[in-house]
Amino acid sequence: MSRASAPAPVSHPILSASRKLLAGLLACALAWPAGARTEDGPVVPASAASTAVRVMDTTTATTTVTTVAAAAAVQEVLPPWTLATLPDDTVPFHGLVNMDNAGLGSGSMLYPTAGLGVIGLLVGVATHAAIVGGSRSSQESKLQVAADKVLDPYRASLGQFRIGDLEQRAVAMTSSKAVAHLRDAKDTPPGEVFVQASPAFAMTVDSAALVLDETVVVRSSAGSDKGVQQIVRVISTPRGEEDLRATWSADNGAALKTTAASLMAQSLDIALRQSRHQGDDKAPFVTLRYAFGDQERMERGQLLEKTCDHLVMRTLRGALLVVPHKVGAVLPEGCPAAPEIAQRKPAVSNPAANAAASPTTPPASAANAG
Amino acid sequence: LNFRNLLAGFAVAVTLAACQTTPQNPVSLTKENLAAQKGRVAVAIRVANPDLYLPGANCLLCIGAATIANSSLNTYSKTLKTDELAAVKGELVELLRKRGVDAVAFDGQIDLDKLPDLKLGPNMATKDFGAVAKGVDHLVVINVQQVGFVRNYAAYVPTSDAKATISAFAFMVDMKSNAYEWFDHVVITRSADGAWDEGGSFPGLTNAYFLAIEQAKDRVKAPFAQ
Repeated sequence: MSRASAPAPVSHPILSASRKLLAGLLACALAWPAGARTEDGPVVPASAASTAVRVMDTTTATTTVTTVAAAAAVQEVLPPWTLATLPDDTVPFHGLVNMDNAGLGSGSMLYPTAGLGVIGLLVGVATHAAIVGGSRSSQESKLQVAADKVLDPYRASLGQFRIGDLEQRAVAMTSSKAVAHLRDAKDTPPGEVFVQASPAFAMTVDSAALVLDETVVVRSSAGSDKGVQQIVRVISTPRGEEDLRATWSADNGAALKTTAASLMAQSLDIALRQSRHQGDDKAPFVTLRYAFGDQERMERGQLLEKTCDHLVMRTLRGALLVVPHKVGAVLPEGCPAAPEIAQRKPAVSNPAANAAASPTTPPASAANAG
Repeated sequence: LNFRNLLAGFAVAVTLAACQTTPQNPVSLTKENLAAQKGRVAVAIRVANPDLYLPGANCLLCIGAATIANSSLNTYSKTLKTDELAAVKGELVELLRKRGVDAVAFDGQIDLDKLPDLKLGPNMATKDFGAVAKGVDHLVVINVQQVGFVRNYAAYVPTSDAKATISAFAFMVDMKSNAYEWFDHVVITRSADGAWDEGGSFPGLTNAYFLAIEQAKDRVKAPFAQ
């Protein structure tokens, strides 16, 4: 098996120019009402108002690709903005736990009442609940410990990776044309957009990709108590190298640090853009597939952007999810074909986490098929 | 007294053995069975109403307590849509047609409860589809028996978080011999990513539900796409 995508069709220059014009017009139409919305009100999740409608709608309509509007938004010139400095702790990294197989099985229970009737029964149920709660908590802790083992080879490098270093790299890597600074709130000029971010990173079970989970709050100024809060998850494109451990470890974890900063920069760009131009709330809900390390994953949501590199969707929880295309995905017109990468051998460094991540497929047997 | 106990035990064992049915093992679909010249194939589906399942809450009081404890999830589970799951019927027909097979979709949902039982042995259909699948050489049936959410219990105490669940039997029957040409028991359980008990429209669990649907569809379509 190889990672490849369909060759992109060639676009005619006149068609391309028409599309750009249409893109500009669409972007203006989208920006006018959305921009006005985000200036008012306290810090609220960007999509809170439409959550109920979103979740109930299970439309199976064909995905409307908003590539045109997204492309125009990418080129938008943002005002200068400042990223708030965070305490200079170690950058948080952890493993990802799959909870599909978590929990205890079902079963019956006979409660001893010790001759105390209903009171005895209640005491029995409470004792049972406490024991089950303890077992489940212990199981979840063990799963997390097993999942964290994926980071063991990189502990030394990650132990020296500070938040300050991450933020500096991320600000330098943002693609927006606006001037970006890294400052405390008190040093931020009035009127400059102020962004607060709290990143946490994870590595996929197969070590092929990093995942950033971040809360980003965009305020119109450092002194403003109003702003737009976005929960953002960004997943990196899976590494193509055969030896992932050597790749991530090389040069004191340079690839880890660069990828982490790149994900944060991407999250800041998208959060800034979405705070100004929220996606279409009426976009259909679809189940989208994407690359999650060497695996394929799915998420239910609304497709907001589709570029040559990634998809941006809004999940049922209202969070932004930025993901790389799945293997063999049809890319937007004009995108270069994705490089073909030979299939990698499955990782064996973390068997416990691999087992935890396997899908639930009990042995097939049936007594009464009909 | 001992002899009486022995007899009673024997009677119970015989009764229970009589109730037991041999589980149907999976049957792989062969390329020969999918050949275009093998005749007409109809595809049928039956999807149960979405629900909340609470295995392990067995006694009457336990069921009541568990249902009350999960009342909002129970109510919400019944509003879940199954259109995308039912759409697998048309997708299977398309896959078969791409292979050159004369395939048709069974109109509406197939009501398996109304069909006569068959007891022909292992690897043989347990229902007589002759009356509903006339003019067809092979019948593909997707029988989704459980769809919605599941939460394990031990009497009154929940032993797991609520998760999305799908359980289905998928099979293809040779209408001449009633033999299974393909049989699979699809069981999918998916947990919410993060907290499940968010109330309202349970976005984490709803996401898991739609992912379980896609996973089940992938599993059912895989033998026909090979």
